[in-house]
Amino acid sequence: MDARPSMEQVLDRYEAMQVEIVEALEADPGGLVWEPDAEGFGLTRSGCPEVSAAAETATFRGLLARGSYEGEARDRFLEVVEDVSARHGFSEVTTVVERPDGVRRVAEDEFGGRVYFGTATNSTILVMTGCHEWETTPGEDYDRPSVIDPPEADAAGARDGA
Amino acid sequence: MSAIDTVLSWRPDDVAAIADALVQHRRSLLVAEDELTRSQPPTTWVSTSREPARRVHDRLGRDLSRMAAEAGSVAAAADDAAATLRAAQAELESALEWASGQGFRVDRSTGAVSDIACWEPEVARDRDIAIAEIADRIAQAVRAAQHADATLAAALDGVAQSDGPLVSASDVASVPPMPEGASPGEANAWWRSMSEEQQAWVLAEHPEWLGNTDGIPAGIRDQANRALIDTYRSELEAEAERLRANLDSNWFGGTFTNDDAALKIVEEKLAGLDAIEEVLSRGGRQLLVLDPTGARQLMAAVAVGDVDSADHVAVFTPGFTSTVGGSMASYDRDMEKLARVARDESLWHGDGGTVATVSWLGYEAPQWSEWHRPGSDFVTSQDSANTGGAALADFYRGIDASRPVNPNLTALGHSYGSTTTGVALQESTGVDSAVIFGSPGIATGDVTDLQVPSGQVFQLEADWDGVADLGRFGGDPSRMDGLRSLSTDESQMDGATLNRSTGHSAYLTQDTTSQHNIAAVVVGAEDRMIEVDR
Repeated sequence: MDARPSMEQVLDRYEAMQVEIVEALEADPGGLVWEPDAEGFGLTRSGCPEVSAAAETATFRGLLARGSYEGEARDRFLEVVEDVSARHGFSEVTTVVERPDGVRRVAEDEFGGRVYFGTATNSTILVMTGCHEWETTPGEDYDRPSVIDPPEADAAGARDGA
Repeated sequence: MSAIDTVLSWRPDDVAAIADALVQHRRSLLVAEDELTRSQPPTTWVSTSREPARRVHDRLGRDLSRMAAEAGSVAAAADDAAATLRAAQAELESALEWASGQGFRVDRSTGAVSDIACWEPEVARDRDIAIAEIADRIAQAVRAAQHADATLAAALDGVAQSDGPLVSASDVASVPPMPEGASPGEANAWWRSMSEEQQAWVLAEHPEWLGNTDGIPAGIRDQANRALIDTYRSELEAEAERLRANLDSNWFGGTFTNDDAALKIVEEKLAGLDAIEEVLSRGGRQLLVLDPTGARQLMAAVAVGDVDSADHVAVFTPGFTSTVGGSMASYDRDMEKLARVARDESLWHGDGGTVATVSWLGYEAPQWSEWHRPGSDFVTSQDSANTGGAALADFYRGIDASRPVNPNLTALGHSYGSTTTGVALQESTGVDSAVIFGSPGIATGDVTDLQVPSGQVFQLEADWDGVADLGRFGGDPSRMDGLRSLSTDESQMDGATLNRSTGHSAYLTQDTTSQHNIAAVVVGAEDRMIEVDR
């Protein structure tokens, strides 16, 4: 485990990657609005007993765009997610499902982190980490705001006309 | 007038008004008592009539004090009765309205519930469960109201017959008792029959009544069980200490006493509590069962997600060699991953429903160490599955009973846990679909014995899984008519490259076809399942 980054480090890195993916998708192919999966899970964690007692995996709150990318937009969606995630080390891409009514792929990095992305009835992105140890193990109320939630301070500032 | 109509005709507001009036009278009595205390016969009064006057004065003071206490007690009893009656009437009206809206007839003279129309067998099965639940709700509401009436009457009788102050009516006497041997529906009706104050009192004072009671809402069970962890730990540590002392003081150790075996069980239960606290520390969990009373093991169930609100709930029952201490962390990990994949699946190509998954070790699964009891506890016997299956059936029923709207409920059974699941599903449980994997048998050779909607029982058998070929408990499910077989191979969908799972323990491994298939069943995504011909 010594060579592996800490959980805090991979969460920061994967968070930055998700911001980059969403910004890239909203620019090209565009058309769909990405939002956090507000009704679903927040950051969830589980143990990695096969690695060490202290190691955990974490899964971010899912990202959701209501609707499907069709035709060329679908190809661009897949290319964009694969390109951005590959720049962050998720270079091993596997097609899970590819049918006319839906496509779903998963990209994996060297630490067992995964980016699931697909488009069918809706379009989704879900990021999981591999097994990592925390620098400081958080309590059970720990969560991270969704990467595409507007920061509260900015939202308040905007309301105030700042 | 029938019991239902009688309860509905009662006027809790009038009872509450009496309570308010009694509070005012109590205040007046206390003022009078104060004035009497201030007007004691002066110590300077020297006369033969002084002593009789002092005795009369003291008696008057005691009478005023007792009357104030009695007024306070009756006021509290009336207030509690009014609150319970209001809750019972609301529950009764809600139950009657719901029954009427769903097309059920309620006989007001007997409380019996029946269906107005005839239905297809599968619908009729669900409606039979609903009938039982609504009858339980009505019966419990009537019982709660009658209990409140009886409690208030007892308080009034007590005042009439006693010279001393009454016991406070706001203690346990005002909480309606849970019916003995309550079904999940009855337990839920009991819970709903109480006022918020009474519920809070029970949760704070008697969490052991709630934590393992099927039919109580999951969020309440979670709070109750968490509150008991430290108590159970202290009790188990004390027991371990006692057993160690016995062993230390006995020249023969545990040879003739079995204290060594008992100590091992207690230590394993303590390890189980450690495992529970470990998974709870990761957040987003509900502790739905915590039972240290088993003869062989700690029993527990932990949910990922919110069982009270999730649209889809899956309950996973593991089998041979499973223990809370040794297995909960890995099962919890599997259920966390399954929940996340299933939620993603439901958003991506399903109904968009939310998901909760449960690792249910609410029974004592067979262990290698029990090899010398082949006819009872060991894995070769169905005894553990029979005992566990009865508890599991109640757990399933409790999920439906505890919620206003039933979730899409899926039973997942692995290995010997599929046998336990098979036993449970031979009762009416409200389970909507079932997946068994790596199964040595489902305790029957006829899938129609399982009370699950037709076509909604699935089985998976991976290559090199010898257990799945044993067929010890009712035959090999992969050869049974009526079960749908799901793939464990590399996915056969166009372009799909999901991983194959092999052996007995890889069905829930991330990114396998088997995990995908189980997730698809959990969220009811029929067109996402990858079936195979047998």
